[in-house]
Amino acid sequence: MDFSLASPKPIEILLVEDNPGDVRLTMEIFKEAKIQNNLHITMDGVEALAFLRREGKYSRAPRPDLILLDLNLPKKDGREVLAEIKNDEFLKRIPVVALTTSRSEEDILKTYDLHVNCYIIKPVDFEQFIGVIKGIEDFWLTVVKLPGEV
Amino acid sequence: MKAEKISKEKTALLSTFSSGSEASQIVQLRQELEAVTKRLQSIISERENIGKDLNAAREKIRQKSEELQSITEELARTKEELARTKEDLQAQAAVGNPSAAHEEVQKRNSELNQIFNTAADGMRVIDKKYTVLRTNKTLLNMEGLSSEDEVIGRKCYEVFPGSLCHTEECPLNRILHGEERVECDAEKRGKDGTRIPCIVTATSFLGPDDELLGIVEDFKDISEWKKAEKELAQRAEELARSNRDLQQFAYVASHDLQEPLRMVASYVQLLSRRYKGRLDSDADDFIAYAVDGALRMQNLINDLLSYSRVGTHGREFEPTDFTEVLNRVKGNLQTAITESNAVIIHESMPTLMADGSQMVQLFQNLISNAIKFRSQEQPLIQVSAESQEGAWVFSVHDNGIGIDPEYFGRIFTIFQRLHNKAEYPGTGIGLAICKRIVERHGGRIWVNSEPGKGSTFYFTIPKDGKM
Repeated sequence: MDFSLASPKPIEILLVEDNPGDVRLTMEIFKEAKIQNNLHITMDGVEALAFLRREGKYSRAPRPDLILLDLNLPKKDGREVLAEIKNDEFLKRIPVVALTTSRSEEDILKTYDLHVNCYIIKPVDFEQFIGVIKGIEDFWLTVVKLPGEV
Repeated sequence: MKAEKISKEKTALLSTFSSGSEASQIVQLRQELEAVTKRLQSIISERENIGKDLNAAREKIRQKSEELQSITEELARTKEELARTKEDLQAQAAVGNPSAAHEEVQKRNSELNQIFNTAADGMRVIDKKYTVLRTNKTLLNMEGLSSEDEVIGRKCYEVFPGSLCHTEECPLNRILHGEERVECDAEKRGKDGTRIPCIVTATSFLGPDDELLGIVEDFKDISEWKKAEKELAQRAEELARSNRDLQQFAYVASHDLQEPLRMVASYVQLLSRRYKGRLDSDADDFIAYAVDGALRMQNLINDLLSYSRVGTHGREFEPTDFTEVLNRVKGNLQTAITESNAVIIHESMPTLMADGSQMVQLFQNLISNAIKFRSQEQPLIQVSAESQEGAWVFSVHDNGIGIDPEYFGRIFTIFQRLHNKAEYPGTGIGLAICKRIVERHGGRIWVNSEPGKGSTFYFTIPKDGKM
């Protein structure tokens, strides 16, 4: 292991979430994270794809290492965003975590069919929500070897 | 008579003696005497013969008399017989008298006609060539006709046409094809085109030697039934719609309420997490109450959501192994079972058509209640299943604190609780959900209990497994 890199490059995370309460809550929890990260926010599907494709005001946007995607979004649905990402040669390697309130079996299976990397039901309970965000952090930012690091 | 004749001849003889010569007179006398003697002898002989004849005649008469006697006896017997025959004949005449018999037949006929015409069902007799032979008044009314003359001798399909005419399903055709009795639904049309839904019953119409002459057709007008049936179906549809609306409402309300509530609960908890002990003690209390209230409301809404999901998110019924169901329940309740040291025993369980995950939820609620409301004793929970006509009866028996019979009905109502929250936490949704699950499966649920002696919850799941 190389310990010479004292300050590693922070992990870039794109959160696609239309609920400002959830956005802020997620931000607050990531603030407590041990891993240095930059959380970018887009509030709908169209904006998310613009960010990923560096269109318009996102021309200087970084390529995210991880995408946290809510499925129920205005304008362009989370499922459509997912399908476009996974059909895009340039974007398809970016791990996408579906973070949604839907427990429906149909949603879960359909989302995996669209090649989501994992599906997480957003807990209603705050403590559990913290647990889930910490879990994402521990697993995706620590355990997993992300393609962007290769 | 013969004596008289002899005396006359003696007189003639004496007179002869008194006149003529003596010698010649003597010779003549001798000759005459001889002649008389001969005559006398012949008369005697004749008399003897006559006697013989008389005897023979007398014998004959006797015989005849005997014959007569036997004939007389015979006659008397015959007369008696005749008298008896006459009596019999008279008796027979009383019954077999052509005019009396005719009256009797007319009386019977009139009775049968009354019965035929006042029958609630329309009836007619048709021969094998579709010709109407007889019809009753009820049928004439159904047909919209007033007289038999408009019907008798005409074809059945012209007089009272219907949905089965000229098809293989025509009752007459079916009976001609060998069926003895036909019962079917048909829509008939009256003269003015009125559509009359009927139950048609046709039976063979047989002649004296059991030969098939045609059919007797009976029409039961079921317009009213059909109307009621339609109304019922409409009402059922309305009810089902209103039920769906309500379920949808409960689901949407609880689901949509959950979102803003999650914000309230999350941020008051974030407040508590970040600022507990950093403001004054009042602030800490206020935040604590806000957190508690928000969490309780979340539980209520979650329960409401689960309750409404029984109806909206139920799965199709599949063959469900109840032993497997209980194993899953025991797995899910492992912590509670270990902590309470509970023993759960069950007999062999059937496999039935049911929503498996709801069965898990049902048993889990009942068994976790049995653990939760345990007495000082070690919890002993017995689950059993008994096959009854049409359904399986399941029971969950415990040795817990029991329930006062006064509350048997109330415990299955949503959010009804018998204990305060400090004693036994919970929203009071568990048994309401159980009831909904059982009802969705077409069964029923009830309880038997005595305070201090444990409770037994029973529920049925029908064997035919229809939703």
